[in-house]
Amino acid sequence: MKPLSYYLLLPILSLVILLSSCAREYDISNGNLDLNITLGGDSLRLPIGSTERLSLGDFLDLGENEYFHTDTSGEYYFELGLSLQEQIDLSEYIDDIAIDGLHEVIYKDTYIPEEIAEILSKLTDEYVEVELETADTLMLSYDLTVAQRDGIVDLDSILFDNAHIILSVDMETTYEYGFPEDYYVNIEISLPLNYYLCESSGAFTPGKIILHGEPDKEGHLIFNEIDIEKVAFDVEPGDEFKFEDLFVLEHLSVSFLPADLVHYAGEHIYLDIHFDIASSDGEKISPKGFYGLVDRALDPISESIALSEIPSFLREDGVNVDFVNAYALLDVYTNSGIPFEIGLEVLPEGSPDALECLIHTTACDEDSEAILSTYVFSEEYMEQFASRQWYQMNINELLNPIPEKIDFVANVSTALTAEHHYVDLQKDYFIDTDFKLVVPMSFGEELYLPVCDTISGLPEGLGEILTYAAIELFGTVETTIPLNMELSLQFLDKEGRLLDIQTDPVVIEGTSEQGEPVLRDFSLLLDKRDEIFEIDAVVVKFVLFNGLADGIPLSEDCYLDLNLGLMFPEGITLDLNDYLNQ
Amino acid sequence: MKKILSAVIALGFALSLYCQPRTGYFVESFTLNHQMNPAFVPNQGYVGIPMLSNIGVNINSNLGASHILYPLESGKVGLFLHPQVSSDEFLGKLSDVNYLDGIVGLDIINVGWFTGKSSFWSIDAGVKVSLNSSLPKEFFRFVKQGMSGDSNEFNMSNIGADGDVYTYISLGYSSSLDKLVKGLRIGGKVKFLAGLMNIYAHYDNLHVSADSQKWNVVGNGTGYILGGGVDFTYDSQTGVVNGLQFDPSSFGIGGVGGAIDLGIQYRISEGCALDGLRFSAAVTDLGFISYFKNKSTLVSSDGFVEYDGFDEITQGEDILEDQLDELLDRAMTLVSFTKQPVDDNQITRITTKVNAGIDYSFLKDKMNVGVLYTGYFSKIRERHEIMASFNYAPANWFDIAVSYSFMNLRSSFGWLLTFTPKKGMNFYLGSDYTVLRYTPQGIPLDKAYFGINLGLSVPIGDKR
Repeated sequence: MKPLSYYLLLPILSLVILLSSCAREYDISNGNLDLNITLGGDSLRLPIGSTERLSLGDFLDLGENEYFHTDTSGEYYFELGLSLQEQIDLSEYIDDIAIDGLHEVIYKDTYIPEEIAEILSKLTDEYVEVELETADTLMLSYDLTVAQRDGIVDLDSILFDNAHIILSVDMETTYEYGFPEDYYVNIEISLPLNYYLCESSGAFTPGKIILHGEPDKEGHLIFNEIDIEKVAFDVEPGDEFKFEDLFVLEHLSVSFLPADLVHYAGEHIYLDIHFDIASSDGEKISPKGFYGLVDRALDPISESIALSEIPSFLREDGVNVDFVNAYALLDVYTNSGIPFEIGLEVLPEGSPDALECLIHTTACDEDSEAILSTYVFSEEYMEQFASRQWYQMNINELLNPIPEKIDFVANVSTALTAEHHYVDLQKDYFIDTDFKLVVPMSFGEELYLPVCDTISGLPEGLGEILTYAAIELFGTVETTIPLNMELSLQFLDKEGRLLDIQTDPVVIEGTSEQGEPVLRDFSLLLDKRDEIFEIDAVVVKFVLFNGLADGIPLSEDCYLDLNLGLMFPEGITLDLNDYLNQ
Repeated sequence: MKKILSAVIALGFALSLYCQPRTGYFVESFTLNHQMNPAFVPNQGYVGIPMLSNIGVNINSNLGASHILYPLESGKVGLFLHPQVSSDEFLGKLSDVNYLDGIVGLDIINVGWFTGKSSFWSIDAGVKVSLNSSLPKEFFRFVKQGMSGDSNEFNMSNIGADGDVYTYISLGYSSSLDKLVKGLRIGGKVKFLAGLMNIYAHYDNLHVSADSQKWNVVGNGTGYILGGGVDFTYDSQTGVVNGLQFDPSSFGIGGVGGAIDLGIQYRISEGCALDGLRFSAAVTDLGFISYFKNKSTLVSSDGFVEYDGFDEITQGEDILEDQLDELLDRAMTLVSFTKQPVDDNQITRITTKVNAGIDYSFLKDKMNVGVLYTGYFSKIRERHEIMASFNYAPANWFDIAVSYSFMNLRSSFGWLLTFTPKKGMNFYLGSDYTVLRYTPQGIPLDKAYFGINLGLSVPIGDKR
């Protein structure tokens, strides 16, 4: 080979040697290779899917709660009820105003002058009336001050169904042949101040008892009983219930035929008039009822409504439900002839202040079995309850926050009115109350209602995935819920401890028009972590709050449709060194 | 010294896409350049040393260490998926189609001789083992970048691989047509091919459409095993391909075929200034192998997955699990190759090459410069290259050639040494692509080309 070949070969080899180089910055020996890799570095997105339509009832777990209902418009409300049945025992008044009765005998003696024989001989068959001297009085005294002490503040009248005036006459004569076949006794007794009512008996003129009877041949006569139906009083305020009823024997006579009377000329006729006011059995005269005014308080009625079954999320710390349309309905059903005043105190547990209200019931008239009085309590007048008596009461305050229980105290007392009421002492009086607290699910601007749903048993590797990638959960919500929602995620370990992993909350605006669905986008970001957390459960936290108009009701038509996607915004980073080392 | 050693390593890692170094295309003393253009003839007849006459081992990829590895701020080296490596940096380096090819060629017999005044005959027999694979850039974009916007389309069609093993024996003839046109020479070869094995899997269509609401994946794939030695295994219940198993007992000739090489050259020798200018063109391996029906197994997959999320997700119910199972079943259809009926022999073509060159010899043919176009037409991909070369023959028994190739915006340095003494032993050693930059572990930095070509033969007859 000529030297030229060397001269050419040498430069070529030199060129190769000079141009060739070892890129030491690519040295992967001695653990210099970093096997961290990121898949989908810009982002990886994939749909997760759509949830089953989540109705508001499911969302708030209302479906199986006995307190929650929907009205005819499908709007949610919850209702708490309390029914009380109270017996009103007025039996003591039976004794209080019972009357001992009266048993009196009036003795009469009359002498028939002999001179009348001649006169009588000239008379025809018409009866001749022999008048006896009268002006005898009978006093019936009774003391009803016990009743007064027991609350009867005014007494208009007492009604009886077993009180009678019983009159009988026993006659004797000095005439050896006794009494004739036909003769009559006539008695007229004035009743005190016309306060006795005996209309159902015959021979009765208001204020008077006029009796006309035919004794037997032995001189005995028992008049028909006169039923005392009512005794009325004229009681002035402050008067003691001590009464003295004066019965006056106004007239007493015996009628004979002249032919018979002539035999008694120069003879005596003796009369014993027995005057009894008594019951049929001879016991004290018990009243059937009375008209009057009663001032009486029943034992306070204390009851509670436990709210333990109310979904717990409504009572969590920090919850501000801010109900705006809560109201209460009270039905009072009673057969009492006395109107009542009910002092109602409603006290949520833990609250220092009770809501108080004094209501008046309507008395049941004598012709009705019972009467229903209805009331509504609310902050604002409610047209829908126009038929009820409205009392202004801010029921919303009862439920913010929702207590464990609500105590109800009803102080029931009779209402003193100008009008007397009838008290039927033979009746079993009752007063049934039905209280309902109705809370429509509509809220004010202060609403703050966190609702948490915990999904446990998550895949074990989730915490590890977070060391590989940040995770963004994004999606679209179709909602007809008229409330804004704040959505965030929190994570728990197997012991239920809250981990230091959570998303910033995002706000999902609700619909501003009732029933109109709106679509809202949202996104929740979980930052990539440096350490592995053992995640066992995710707490999906919704906070409902009102950024819209106050008081829009939640109805069963409200729903959430979630369309979810998953994104790894910076891809998935894996450290393959770990795998190689394992 | 270390640098010299590195250079030697680099030389050793020189690459070629042929079993012959293309740098030798214009080297007239290179005894095997007729394998690239059958019109070419060497300076002297030869008999190859059996099994050593022409050996080529090459692995070719347009991906190199610099595509895969990235120096990090920490001083370490990260993979292309490392979070510190930006998508733009990585994807900007990739070609639309990325490939990994390998070829091993071994000539068992080489013999070439002259008859008459200008006729040259050659007989070659050997074995070729080739692998072609293709991975589109979109695949890397999907893995690296993920989803850059809300709507993302990834067309990953043309993912595939083709492995081919066949033997051949060829008879070549080249003759001068000076009588017709002075300086004109044509040549041709007839090749008998015996297919041993061809494994092919390819997704004609693999399209991923992904956004935050829906993922669509459409995939249509075909595959086959022709010949013996390896076969699919199937899931006993579904009949779906679940693996490969080797069966050496079935290895053998699975099909036969033929190919031709055609070449032409025209050298100006009119006593003018352009004397020494040569035009040449050739097409080689234009042929096919027909594999026997009973040695053919065809499979295909036809999958479509549309995933837009699960419906009615409800905690604690089986609905989600059922939907997940259904989704996985659908996804599996994408990669579920099932056996297809084979109605006839299966004909496959082999990779055809086209060469077209122009060169100029001067200084009494001691020097030569040329430009060569080469096109590769494989079953799954085409590739085109331009190479410029310079040859110098300081002695009539020694030639040194260097080349510079351009292909797909990249370039490489090649070289070839040929020793062709009149008597004794011919020897060549060379590579078309010389790695100039490499990692300390010897991995080519820019393009992962790896290979070497060498051969030994005994000259016969007189030099022309």
